Amino acid sequence: MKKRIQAKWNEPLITDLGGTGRRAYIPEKLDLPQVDLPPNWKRKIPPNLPEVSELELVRHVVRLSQMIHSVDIGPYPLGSCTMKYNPKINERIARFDGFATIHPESPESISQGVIEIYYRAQEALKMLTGFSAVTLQPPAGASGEFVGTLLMRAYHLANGDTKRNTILIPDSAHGTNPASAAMAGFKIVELPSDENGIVDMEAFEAALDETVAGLMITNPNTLGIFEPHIEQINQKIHEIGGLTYLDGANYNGIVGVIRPVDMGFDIMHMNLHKTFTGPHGGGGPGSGPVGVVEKLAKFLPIPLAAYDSKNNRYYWDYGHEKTSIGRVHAYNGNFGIILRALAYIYRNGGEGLRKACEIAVLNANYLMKKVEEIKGFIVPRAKGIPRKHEFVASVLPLLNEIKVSANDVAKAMLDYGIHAPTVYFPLIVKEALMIEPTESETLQNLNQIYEVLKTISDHAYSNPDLLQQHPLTTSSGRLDELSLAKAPVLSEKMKK
Amino acid sequence: MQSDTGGMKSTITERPYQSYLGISPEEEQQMLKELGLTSTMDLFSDVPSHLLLKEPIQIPGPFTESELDRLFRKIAKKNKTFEEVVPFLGGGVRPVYIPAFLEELMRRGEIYTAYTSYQPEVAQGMLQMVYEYESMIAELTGMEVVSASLYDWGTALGESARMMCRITRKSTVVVVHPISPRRLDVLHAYTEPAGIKIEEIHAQGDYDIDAIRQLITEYGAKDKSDQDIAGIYFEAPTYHGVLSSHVDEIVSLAHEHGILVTVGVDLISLGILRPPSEYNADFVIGEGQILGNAISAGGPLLGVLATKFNRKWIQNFPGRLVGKTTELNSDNPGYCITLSTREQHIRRQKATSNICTNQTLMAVNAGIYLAGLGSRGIQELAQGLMDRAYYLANKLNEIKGVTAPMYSPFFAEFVAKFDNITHNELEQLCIEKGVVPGIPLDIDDGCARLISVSDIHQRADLDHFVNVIDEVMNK
Repeated sequence: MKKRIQAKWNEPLITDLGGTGRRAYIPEKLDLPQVDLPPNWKRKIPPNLPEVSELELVRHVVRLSQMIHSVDIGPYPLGSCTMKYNPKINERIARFDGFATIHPESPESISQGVIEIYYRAQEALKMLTGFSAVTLQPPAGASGEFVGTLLMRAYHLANGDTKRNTILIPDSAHGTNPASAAMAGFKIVELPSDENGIVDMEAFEAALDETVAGLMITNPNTLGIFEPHIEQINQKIHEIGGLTYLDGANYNGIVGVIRPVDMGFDIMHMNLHKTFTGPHGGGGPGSGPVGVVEKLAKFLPIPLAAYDSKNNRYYWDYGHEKTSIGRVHAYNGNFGIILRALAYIYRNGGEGLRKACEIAVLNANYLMKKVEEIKGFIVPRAKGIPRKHEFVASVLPLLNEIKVSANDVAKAMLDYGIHAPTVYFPLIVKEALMIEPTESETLQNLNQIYEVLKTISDHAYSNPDLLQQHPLTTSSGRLDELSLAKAPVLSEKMKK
Repeated sequence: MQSDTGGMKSTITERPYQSYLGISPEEEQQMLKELGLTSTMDLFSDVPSHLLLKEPIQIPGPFTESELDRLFRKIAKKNKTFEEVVPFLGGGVRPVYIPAFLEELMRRGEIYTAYTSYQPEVAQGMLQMVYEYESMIAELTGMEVVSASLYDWGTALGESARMMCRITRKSTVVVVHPISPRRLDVLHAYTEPAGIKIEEIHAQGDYDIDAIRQLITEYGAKDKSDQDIAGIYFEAPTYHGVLSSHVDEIVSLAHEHGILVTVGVDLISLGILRPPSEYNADFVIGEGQILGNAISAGGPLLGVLATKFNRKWIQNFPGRLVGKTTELNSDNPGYCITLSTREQHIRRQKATSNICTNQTLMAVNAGIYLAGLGSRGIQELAQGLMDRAYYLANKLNEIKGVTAPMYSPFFAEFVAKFDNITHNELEQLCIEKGVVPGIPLDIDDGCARLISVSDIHQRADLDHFVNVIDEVMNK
């Protein structure tokens, strides 16, 4: 396998570039009288921002951009993040003046197109998931979880049911689940997984009591396994008066093939930046719409987009304001991402989304079968059960036999131009590599990922110590993260 | 169901979405053969069969790329852009002129198709840009630690309130009006489930300093064990635009009693206004959209949160932080996400926030914008906004039936009052003539509106607005 060499520019900080009086963006000065500030409000020392020319700034950013691994650069099998291709048409659409320049408090009469996008996106997501109502307000998946747990709270309180203060969450869940539920004021009861990586039904049943507000579960779960007892689980939660929440982080594994509502869920969040190609932006923005069954619709954040067919008019509906949980964003969430997602959904149609899901699942299983063959790698739990969009491998044998860790393997992958999988997650698998190739990767790329892992394994067994040195051909080597945590430098102002 | 697609139906019959798939139908067959399967749906054999849909879901599409382009263009045209109706809308976000170089740079797929820098060795460019953003916001606010991003100003307020309560182990937050009703809504949603009490001091224009003094004096007289105020929040300028002369007093009153202070600011104003560090604010929040990010109907935005370095506070800080270090085996500088033990992926239910995916791209955009402005640019921009606002207010005030401003001094936003007209009438008549006359305010009984200027407004736009108001008010 050939190594790839990432750009290494040794680019200085922007704050160390520039000179005195160079200009990049010169704001327009109007011929208006200059107003004097009240003396007590005057800034005495002007902010010390860099003074660079336009080209200087452009080169700086272009150089830095070359030191970022991204989907547009190479394979990015980061499990549970669904790093699929971000179609360029979506970027064009999001920048149409009629979308990008509109103020969120524009009167409805001049922002019909914005509300129409919201309405269409609500409708499309309702059709896909089967839920009765969808809010697009949560600006990320975790915000959707927060909304979901607030809905549970509002529902039980509206029923006068004040003792339901716990939420059941499997131990394989993303960290955001317990964090969101805790933010909404709940206690967390962790459900253990069984030897097959699915919810342990005995432990689950033992956890059921009258304090349970609901269950949050990811399905397919973080091992990429479809929870076989999901209907039974949801039914049992309903029997004790609880609500069921689906974390849609892994929706790409079932989208267009299974409707979440049919599994018995009451609430679900979707990640438009995962399943529906909102670009991940180096960490965000995302978008985390929440779908609910009819009885929970009145608690959704305000407002919802609505359509008056008689007058062919779109409007913001505040009708449920009195029962609503309120707002989790000052406006209506990440419109730009919702727009891209809608473009992707329409481009595919129901048929295309289904195909995308199928190929994502095919790619994951194809790669899993290859990875299983590599010496020192195993795919623990649920032997013979197909995974959905992702699978979790473990390099525990590598660690036990030759002291090479999942982190070492991850770092070595970087030298071959492949982003590392999600490592050490889920917590229930030791030395985990969580691999999600997505439907975007070609057969060659899948084979390449396999070849790289195999090469790393070969190298590891022939000279395990060398593995610690990776990465070598990236823009930086391993970093001193420990010193930073001990004595943080979080801005140039803190530099000693 | 609104499955109308603008009167358009796809003309293409065969898989227009194939361009998004890495695997061709032929390759799919080849892979199935290798896996010993006959159909890809065999990979769903573990799923109860009644859950599997037999047919594709009937949403609109599939469309070819050009069909899609045309459909969305058509919908976009239903919104009135700046060329048709000039908005004087702010309230936290506002339209900004986006320099061409900035737009070009932000179109780079290397930047926008990456995710969180979990592997710093291949993400140095992203991490450095976030660190640069943090450094420039620190410079602007006079703070040291800057969140790599929260969702928006509203959620930054929610997070800040919760953080102040965690730090002080108290559970009341005082909100000094005027603040944005939208941000107040978010604050309620964030704090209510944590049992945090929000105590509001209502006012119009400027803060009600007498009420604040009274509240703090009474609070000081209480038994220590009954003192439960964690923090206080005010906006400067206020939501009604006012640059109050009371900020120093509010902060020192609060600090005398161990109450933390969060201030919400207009980040561009800090080009010429005293940074919050000078009046000793503990936490600074604001909306980073105005730092060169497209307004995009209200999202994606950029929640800014900054503070001084204090171990205890930082342990309670929400969201990601990027720091500067060196390579393990050299002195070369390097950047990485740090102090992650506060975060949800490690601490789970004990995390300081549930935030994971954030608004990094907007922070990167803001950093480039600030660097592009530089020291001089940000001063000129801030001064230019203030000059526009004063010019506009003075001209409006000359019109019979208009009071502008209702409160002063102000920065880029002011309240104007229109006599003998309803919000709806004013709005409709103005829109017909090509302007949006600000945001309606719920003050007094009359028609008071928050008028906001932006750097997209040229003098002709301001004069046009004045003429329109003159026509509408004296028809």
